[in-house]
Amino acid sequence: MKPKTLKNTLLLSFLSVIFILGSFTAILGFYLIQDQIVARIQKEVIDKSNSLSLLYEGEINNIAQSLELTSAISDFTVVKKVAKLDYVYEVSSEETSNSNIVRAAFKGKSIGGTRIIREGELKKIFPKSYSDYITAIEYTPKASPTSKKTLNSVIALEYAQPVISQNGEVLTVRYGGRILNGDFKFVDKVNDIIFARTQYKGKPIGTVTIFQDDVRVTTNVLNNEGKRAVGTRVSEEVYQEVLQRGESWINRAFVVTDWYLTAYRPIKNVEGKIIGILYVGMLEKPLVDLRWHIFLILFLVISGTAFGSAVLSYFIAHHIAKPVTNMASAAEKISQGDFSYKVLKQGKVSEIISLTTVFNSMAERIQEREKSLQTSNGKLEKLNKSYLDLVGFVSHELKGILSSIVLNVYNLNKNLLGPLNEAQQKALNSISRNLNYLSETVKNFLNLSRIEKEEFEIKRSSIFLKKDVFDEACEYFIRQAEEKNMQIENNIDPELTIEADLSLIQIAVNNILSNAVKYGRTGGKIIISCKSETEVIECKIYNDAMPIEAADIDKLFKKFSRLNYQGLDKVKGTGIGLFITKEIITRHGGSIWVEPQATGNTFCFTFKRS
Amino acid sequence: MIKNKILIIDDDEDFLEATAALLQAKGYQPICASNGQDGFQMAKTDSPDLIFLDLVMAYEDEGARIAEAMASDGAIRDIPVILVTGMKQKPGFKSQTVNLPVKAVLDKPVSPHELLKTVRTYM
Repeated sequence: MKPKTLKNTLLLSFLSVIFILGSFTAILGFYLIQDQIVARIQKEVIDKSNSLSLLYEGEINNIAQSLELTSAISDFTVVKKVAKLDYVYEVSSEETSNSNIVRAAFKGKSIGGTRIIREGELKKIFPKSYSDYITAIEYTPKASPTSKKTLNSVIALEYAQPVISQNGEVLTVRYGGRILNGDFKFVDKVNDIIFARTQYKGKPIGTVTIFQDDVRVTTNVLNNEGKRAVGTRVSEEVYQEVLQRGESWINRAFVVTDWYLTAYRPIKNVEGKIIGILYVGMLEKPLVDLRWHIFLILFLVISGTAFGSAVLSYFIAHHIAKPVTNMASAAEKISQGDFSYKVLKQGKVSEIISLTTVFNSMAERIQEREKSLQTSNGKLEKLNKSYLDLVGFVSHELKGILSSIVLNVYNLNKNLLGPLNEAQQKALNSISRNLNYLSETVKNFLNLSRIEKEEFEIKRSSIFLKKDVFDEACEYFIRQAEEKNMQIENNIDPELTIEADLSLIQIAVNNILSNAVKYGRTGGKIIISCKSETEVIECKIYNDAMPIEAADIDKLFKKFSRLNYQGLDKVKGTGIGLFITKEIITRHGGSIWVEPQATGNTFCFTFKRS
Repeated sequence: MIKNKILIIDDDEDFLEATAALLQAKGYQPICASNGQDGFQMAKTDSPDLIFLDLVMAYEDEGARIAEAMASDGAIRDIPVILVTGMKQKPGFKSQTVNLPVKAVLDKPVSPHELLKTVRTYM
């Protein structure tokens, strides 16, 4: 995945925070608005319902006052007209009355209330217009099932006033009432008072209904055809709650065509029996619209703020990231070798300022170091050149000169150029010995300088240990061994092979064998053997000699260290042969050590099998 | 015909003389050239059976160039060439000479035994 830039990372972080905060605020706002509006609506519906109850009570009081004021008028036709009542009667016997209000008044006190007027009584009151008061029951989907087609009774507001004799006996009861069925004056008046007939998108914002039992008998709720929905019924749910259990029902309800927030309250007769429902409802739509309107504003405000914050975040991210971005590009320039590049001090953030300062001083120091490195490199190159010149000189001049001397001495020594006398021969032997030592020294010197400059390039190939290495070495040293009357036994398995650099292994083995001859006992033996176990091959070169003391073992493989043993002080050596040998063996992954014996020493070294 | 003619090419007169003396004493017929150019000519005219060739003469790579010239000359390309040099231990020597058309490389100072053994091996 491609790494993001600091600026984008910061920007993404800011945007995430903005998004989370914005979403949280929006959700919280939505629920708060919802809660507030629902609470406000419920309170308002309860208020309206209370007002309706008060107005309903007031209507009964109106009837009472009208009857009280017209008590002196004996013509009931006039009373009905003046008091705007549907009926007025006076009865002298409690038993003959169908009205529970009238019967209550016979107890001696005036009383008003709501009651049901049954079919028979209704026919007596309105012999001609009786049928006008019959309400046809309309099918209503959510209402409780009914088989009734018509409502043959009515609901009426009634007031009864006892006429009492001087000794306190109730002589008669005068009563009058107003039938609510089909009379819309009350509901419209209520609508005027509590909703001021306000309309919302062509629909009345408030509705008022009086139910007789569960049937709408007077209402300003309109049906689909725009007519008053008289004859429709209340839903089963409200029926159960209000008519059966006698509780108020305050909730949202689908009233004929729209959702309303509604309050239903039971209407009781004077005996406390539930005979109808007072209903008030408020159109929900304005409040829903209000809620969405507020939420839209809230959403716009949040979105606007979020957008503004996002834009601001972009600039802040850019501002924060800029010094770091500058420093990154400066670091890149420096890594490409352009040390002149400096980061300008920017911003007021202390960490950034100090980072910039440190960065610049670091760049300066790197530049200085680079310069000093270049100087050192120049010196090193010079030194290397001198070294190569020296090695070239020694290799060409010194070894070239030695070459002809060695051959000439050999020619003389072997009498190839004519016979020598004894003194000459003796002198020549001395020259020959010294010449051998000088040749070895020059070779060792060159090998040492290669090791110390770590210029050993190990080029491994598969080589036969006996044929390629030890046979060659033995042949080289056989004459020196013969001069000391020594015997060399080469017991190595001819098939044994190793992966190694032939020329380096030859140097190592020659050094050990050279030492074995030089420091070996005159007339002694040199025994070469090898054993191969699993992955490791171990070579042993034993010579009869003075055993090396334990204390000297550590010195043996150190550079320029020589051991002084009696009788060996005339043997010449540089003290670097074994050091070179150890380096060669170690760099091939093997190890070398010495095991002093009773009659001599065994030099052991190991290789990994090819 | 007995093979015994050996050409020695070296700019060191002392080395030439000493080597020639040794080879002569051992029954060979040495002929000497003190530079690459002469050596190349003598290789062509005298038909030696073996050539000892010094690497560094007047020029650093004179021996190498002569070895390559001989190998690409049809008349003498089959004469075995032995490189004799003190440079064997100089860093980088191996990579410079590994592809040269020579039979062996002897390190100066050459021991007389090694010299004679090489002659016996390649002639």
